[in-house]
Amino acid sequence: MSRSFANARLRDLIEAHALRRLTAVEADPDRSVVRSIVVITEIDDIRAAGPDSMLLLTPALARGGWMISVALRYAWERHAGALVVPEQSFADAVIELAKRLNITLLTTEREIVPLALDLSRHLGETGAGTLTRVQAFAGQLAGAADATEVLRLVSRELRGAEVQLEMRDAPGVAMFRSPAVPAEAPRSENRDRLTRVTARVSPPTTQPAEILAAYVPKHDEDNAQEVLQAAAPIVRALLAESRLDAFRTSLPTISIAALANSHAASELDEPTIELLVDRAHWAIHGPYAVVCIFAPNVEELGAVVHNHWFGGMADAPLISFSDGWLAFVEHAEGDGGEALRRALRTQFAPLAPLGVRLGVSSTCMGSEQSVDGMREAWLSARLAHAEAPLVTFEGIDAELLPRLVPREFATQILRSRFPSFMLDGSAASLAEAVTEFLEHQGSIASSSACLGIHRNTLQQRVRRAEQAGLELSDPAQVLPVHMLLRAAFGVGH
Amino acid sequence: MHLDDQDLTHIRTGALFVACSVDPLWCHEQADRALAHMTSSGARPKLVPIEQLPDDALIATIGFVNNGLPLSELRPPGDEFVQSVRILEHALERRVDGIIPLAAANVNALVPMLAGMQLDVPVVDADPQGRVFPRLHQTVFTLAGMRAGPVAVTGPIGESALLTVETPRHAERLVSALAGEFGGWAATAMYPMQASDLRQHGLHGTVSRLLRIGRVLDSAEPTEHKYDLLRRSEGITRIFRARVVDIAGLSRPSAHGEPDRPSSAILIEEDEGRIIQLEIQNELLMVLVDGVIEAAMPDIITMLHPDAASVASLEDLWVGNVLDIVVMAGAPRWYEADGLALVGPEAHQMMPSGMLNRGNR
Repeated sequence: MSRSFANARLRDLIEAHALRRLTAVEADPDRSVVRSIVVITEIDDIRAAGPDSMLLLTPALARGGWMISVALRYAWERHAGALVVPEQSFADAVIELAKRLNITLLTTEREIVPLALDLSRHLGETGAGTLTRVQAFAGQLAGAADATEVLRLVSRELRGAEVQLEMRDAPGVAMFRSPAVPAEAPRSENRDRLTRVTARVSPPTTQPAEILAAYVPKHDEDNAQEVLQAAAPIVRALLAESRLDAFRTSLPTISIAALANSHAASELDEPTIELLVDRAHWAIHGPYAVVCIFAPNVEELGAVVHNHWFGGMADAPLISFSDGWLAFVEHAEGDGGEALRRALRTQFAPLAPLGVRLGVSSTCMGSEQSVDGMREAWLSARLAHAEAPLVTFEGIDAELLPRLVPREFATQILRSRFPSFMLDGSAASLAEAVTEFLEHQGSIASSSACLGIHRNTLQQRVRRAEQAGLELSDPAQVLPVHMLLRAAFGVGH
Repeated sequence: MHLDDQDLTHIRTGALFVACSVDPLWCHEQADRALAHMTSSGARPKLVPIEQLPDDALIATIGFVNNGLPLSELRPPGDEFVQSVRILEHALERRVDGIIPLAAANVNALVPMLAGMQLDVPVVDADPQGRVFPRLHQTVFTLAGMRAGPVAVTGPIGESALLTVETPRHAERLVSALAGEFGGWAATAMYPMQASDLRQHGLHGTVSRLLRIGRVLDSAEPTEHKYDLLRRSEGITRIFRARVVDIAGLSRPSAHGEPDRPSSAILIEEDEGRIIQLEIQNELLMVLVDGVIEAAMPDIITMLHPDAASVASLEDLWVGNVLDIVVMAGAPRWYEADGLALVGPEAHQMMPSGMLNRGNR
């Protein structure tokens, strides 16, 4: 037995060496790869052949259909891809067996040994070409500005294959992803038919590990492995640089937060976020929204979040705090923040499986509203979850408020939602009346008795509160209103 | 024990089962000659175990040998083995005390039945092949280093010769050549030995096994019951029920000196649709199932008709016919290294015996 190793497509070998195909079992020769050429001089040698090998039987061995059948069977057991035998006639059953075993059966009129030498030379040339191309490709990668650029180059090198940076603990979930791929490229929805090739980016001692993953056709598996191996160190360096930049950018904020003894933003207590705002240097002149981003592991995901943030809101800096980031984003003129919300959804959707959550405040104006905006964004982000990774303050369902809002925030909501009511000079007594009225299931008699006021007075206050905007006739609104009033005014039992 | 008509019929059935011959007619005719002799003379063949003979008793091996072509149309007259044995006795200057068949299968299993009655000697329950191999030197006697000669041969028209020859392999070449000159076959008497040597080196119980097999197959039991009985008593290892789909006249080059031309039959298994290939050369040499060699010489490969478990011949390999391919092990001696070298796949210029799937044996 003699053999040679490299890697080439079966179709290329068939076409280049005029082999006659007997079976149509190989539906897509582009996907079949040949790694080695093995000349079988003794039948037992087949058992030493490796996967994806092309087996060539010498004339002395390829005598009769039974020997071809045995060779096909051994080829199948060894995961060989093709069997080449000298030109001869076959029983239909032999061809049928090749189909069943999914072995491409080929014949040749050439001498087996010279043919094997030519095939081996072909494989060798293919292998050398691959190495040269990967070396040149590594040179291109060195000039990439960021990880996204590297992924784009890798994707292009792999004929538009989907390439992404993943956490080992969450395979298939992209932290970074190559830009949109050409239409003819292997699509992610066809992943089941593609081979996932990976290369580790993080050093072996780092946990959780980051890996580069590409989804390629089987025949391109080896090439993709070489390309990813070449790209991994550069991605690692760019990620480290990105994290360092993010850390450097957020240093002043971190210092302020540390001085203010800020708690983790995702905990129940509200952070003392006033200190984050430098009102003297407020630079936003139009309407804006505050964005709050939570991440389960700020250090690991920092570079990723920055990358996705700058992909859509490059002008607004991210302010880091213990459990995430805040940002003040000026609205596009006249759109009410719609463009911002759309951009955030697009940019951060891939990070949802990694636990990244976003909250967006209502529209704010001036530095005075910045603290309220931060609270709104912080609260909205707290309410975000896997199915709704981005929550806007306006989108908070009223029924969620009672279990969530602190007193000041309840007051703020009432001001926002029921401004007429809150501007009423008798708001406190109206709130007291409404609260008692609701807590007595709408009984004027018992609630007025409890408050020690006349029933007509209670009726008048309740009616006045309704005229000011409180929706006491809507069952869905009754409980939130009740809770808001209790939280804001501290009235009731 | 003395054998009766029924016993002889059963032995014929068992002999055909073990051999799966190209042409069963000769086997039937030989049985008919023995039965006719029994009727006309009142004699009965006597089958005895070797233990019943003294150590110094002279035993001869008798059987037809052909020249590698299909058996001749020249039918045996009936006294050819008497003549060969007498020539051998004359050369050895003593009487033969017992005879054994060259092969306990096919026509040669019936030869000693008639000759034993004619010579008035017992048939010893033993043989040197345990089945049938195409060449006379493919015997356990060869493995034991025993002499084949002197060899006495008689042809269809009464011509005879005495070959003073030592090695079985050389005897094979000479007898095969003489058979061609005689007209296609030769009735041989050879491997003269003492009973003690036969006791030590022969394959024993092989004739009575044919009787047992024949009794089962000739019974009125349902097919599956017959198969169960054969599994338990004779060690049948596999049965494939398959339909013939193709016959190839020449599936591989003919090996020099081998009788007949090689051919191949393709069948599709009835239940699972697996592809079954039979390699044929006078006998069934090998069975492949989806490219896996399930059995090969010296395994006994034979065929039965599924309906009544009657013995099929190679002539039943016609496209569309459904047959049961039955595999049973040969004599254990053949699976030793020197045995495989003499009668295994390599001996038939097929493949290394290591390729054979014997995992479930």
